[in-house]
Amino acid sequence: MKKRRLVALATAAVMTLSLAACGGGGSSTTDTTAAGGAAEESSGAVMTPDAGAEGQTLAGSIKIGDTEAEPVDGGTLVVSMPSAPRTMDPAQYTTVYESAVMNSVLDTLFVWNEDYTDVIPNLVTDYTISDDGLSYNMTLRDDVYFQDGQYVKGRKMTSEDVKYSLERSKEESPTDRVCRDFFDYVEVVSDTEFIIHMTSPAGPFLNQLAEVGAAIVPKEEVEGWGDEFGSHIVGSGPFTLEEVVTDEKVVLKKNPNYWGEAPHVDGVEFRIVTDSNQAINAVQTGEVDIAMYLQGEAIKRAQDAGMLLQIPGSGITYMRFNLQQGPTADPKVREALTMAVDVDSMVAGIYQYGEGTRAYQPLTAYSWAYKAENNDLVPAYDPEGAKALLAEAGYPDGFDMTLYISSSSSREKMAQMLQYYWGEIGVNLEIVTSTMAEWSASVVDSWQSDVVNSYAVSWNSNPDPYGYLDKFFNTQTIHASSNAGGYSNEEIDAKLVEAFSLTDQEERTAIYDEIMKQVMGEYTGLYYAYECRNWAVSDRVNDAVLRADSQMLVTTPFNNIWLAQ
Amino acid sequence: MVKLILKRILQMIPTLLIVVTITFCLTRMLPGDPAVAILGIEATDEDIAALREEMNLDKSLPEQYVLYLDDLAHGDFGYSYSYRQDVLGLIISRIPNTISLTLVALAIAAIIGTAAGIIAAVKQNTIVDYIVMLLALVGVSMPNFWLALMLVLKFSVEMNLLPVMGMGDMSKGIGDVVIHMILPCVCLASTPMATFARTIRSSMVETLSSDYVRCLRARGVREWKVICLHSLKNALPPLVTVLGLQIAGTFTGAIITEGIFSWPGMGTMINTAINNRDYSLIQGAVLFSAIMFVFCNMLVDIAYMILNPKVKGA
Repeated sequence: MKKRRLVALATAAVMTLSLAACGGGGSSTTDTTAAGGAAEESSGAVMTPDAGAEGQTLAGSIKIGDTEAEPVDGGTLVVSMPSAPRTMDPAQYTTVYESAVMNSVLDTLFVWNEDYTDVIPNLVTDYTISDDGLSYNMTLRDDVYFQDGQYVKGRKMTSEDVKYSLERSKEESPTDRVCRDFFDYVEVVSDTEFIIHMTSPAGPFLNQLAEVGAAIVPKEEVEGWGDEFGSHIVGSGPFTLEEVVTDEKVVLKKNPNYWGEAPHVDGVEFRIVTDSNQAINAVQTGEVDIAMYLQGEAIKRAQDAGMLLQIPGSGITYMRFNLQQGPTADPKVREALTMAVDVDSMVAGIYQYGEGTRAYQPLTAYSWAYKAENNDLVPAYDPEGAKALLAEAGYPDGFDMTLYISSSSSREKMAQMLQYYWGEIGVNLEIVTSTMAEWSASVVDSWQSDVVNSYAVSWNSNPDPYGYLDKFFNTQTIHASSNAGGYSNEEIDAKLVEAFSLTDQEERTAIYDEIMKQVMGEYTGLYYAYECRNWAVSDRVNDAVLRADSQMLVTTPFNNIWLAQ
Repeated sequence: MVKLILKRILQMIPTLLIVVTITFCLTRMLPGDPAVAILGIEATDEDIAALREEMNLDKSLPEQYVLYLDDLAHGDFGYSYSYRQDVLGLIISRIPNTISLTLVALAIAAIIGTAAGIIAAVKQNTIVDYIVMLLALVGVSMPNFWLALMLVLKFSVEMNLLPVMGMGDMSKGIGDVVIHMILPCVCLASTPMATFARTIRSSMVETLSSDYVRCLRARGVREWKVICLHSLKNALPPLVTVLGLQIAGTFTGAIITEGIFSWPGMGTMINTAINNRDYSLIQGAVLFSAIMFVFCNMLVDIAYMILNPKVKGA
């Protein structure tokens, strides 16, 4: 294997960051420069920001490839993913496999920046938010044209399209893509000007506009294709959808009329490769350029071959207690159970290929509201202290409890380790394993009885604290799996609502920090890991970005993939 | 003969009805709600309820069963919610890929397996015989997926001769498709090839020691004629029986092999369907596979009657 050069560019927004291997051990270098970052030259190079060390500030992305060479045009970028995209209609899609493709075909009003810290205008040239947070005046670029489809031939995008698309996402999306409880309607002022009206203010609203579920699509195509639109999407992005071969491949071609910088590659081909080991083989033979979403042993193989690109994901993997019923309703018991676990060793044991790294808080470290000092609120490993605390709570001989997980090797390993640690303090853990669908059926509303004493899953959202704290601690979400433990506190609810309605980030941060300090003192669960996003990337790929949300970013305002010929 | 075939076709109906009933019950026993699987766990209760109604999941099981049978009787296999396509169209688009893989693998298996079996029988109890039978034993016992990964490591990654996966593209010429078929077919052929070799060997050993062969040899008929023309013909009927069983085995093997080689056939589709609790697609795919099996068995029976007229359709 030829030695390759991995260049990680940590850009300005992240001031203190520590770069180290996600699982490659404790080698961490502190780097405070704005650009240039750390360059490593070795066959087993892995570049990942480390969430484990003292910093707990993550760089939101890694850039890879030769930054000095002159980009070359041409070639087809071949990307493999383990599962086939289903409908790619922005109002209907559900998984990352769809959005990986949609991102290159469709455009949104805003996009997440390279560091995944904030959104930047994309189709919008400028915008103002009214003081009461109820209306957003926006101006659309006037050089945006839709791709040629069946019913639209290069028509210019106007405010009417924005109105149609956003209101359609609000009405039809099975999951909330546009803050539908707060977003009211779009008022068209002229072809390029429009006002978004809200029923009440929503701080995270602009973030939602950067989600591909709020992409701007032409009405003629959506209505012309009907249910079939999902496999014939048309938008204004850098690539057009050429062909969808079910379960085999999705082919994209360069859009000649793209408004932004023209893509360097002629096209992108997404291939469905279910077996991670086969994906690695294909990268080695040159059949595939980037293998997305690797799992298990394939991660180690990619690392050995010097082609692994890894970043901790933005989602948090956690175990939560039943907060209303059974022994875990007592905060003292929860504190004891938390103290009884050596989380560092547990995380190292679960993710033996380095596909996960330690987390502490119920908020992603990628968030602007994240404060590393709150990590200290997680009690240190102390089995003796835990025993004493249990006795104090009235369980000197321990008790029996259950843990519900979906069947996957990382969850099962975690459960077995908890079984061991809790067994040490006399708590007998019964592990209940099932499929994801069955898991969610048993866990939802489990706070109403003491059958489910604890459960584990991972939760992912964009880095706005709303996406985590409201889902975990708002009484309104008590019927969702994220708050199945039943956290309900009027004071916290009021603070969450207040933080949500503000648009000023500093004010929001202050309130969210108060919330964090309160909820972390209640020991609601173990928020133990960031599971890594793992890609294998071939030598010939340059200017590729792996961001914490693990989206496929081919041509964006901050990168443009090109292939060495 | 025609009457006999018609009778066999009629006999297929109760068999298939049983298959339909069993798959209906089994899919309903799968844990998990298909509506939740389709919409994701973030979906709201109303959306899930609406989809359940659309999919007839809000009705009682007997009602669902009757509705399903009624649709089937009208040739309607249902709608796949995970693919958003008609089940029948989906199956028809996939089945040629699986059949081509299965048939090519069986052809390779039959040719090489038969040749190896004959050689082993002729050279009975020599080192050649032992080697062939040892290889056959390895072939029968080796798991498909393991062989697949080893072949890929050797021929694709190390030697860079053959593609790792995919089906190739007809627009790049037939060569591209053939080259993509080699590894999955060889891998799929390993088990039936070994079985054929063992079957042919034992039945050839038997015919070669029979009186008429001794007679032929005594009359001075050339040895290759004795083996290839006279003995082989009489050694074939057991192979036909084994072939019928191997078609089924290879078809199920194809489901695993397809997964490894990203071959877009029935296997990958059934996998997706089960993961997504796509009831209509699981039922449709199983029913279709059952039809294929029953049909293959019928063909084997007919072939057997032709080869051995003493067997009258039992």
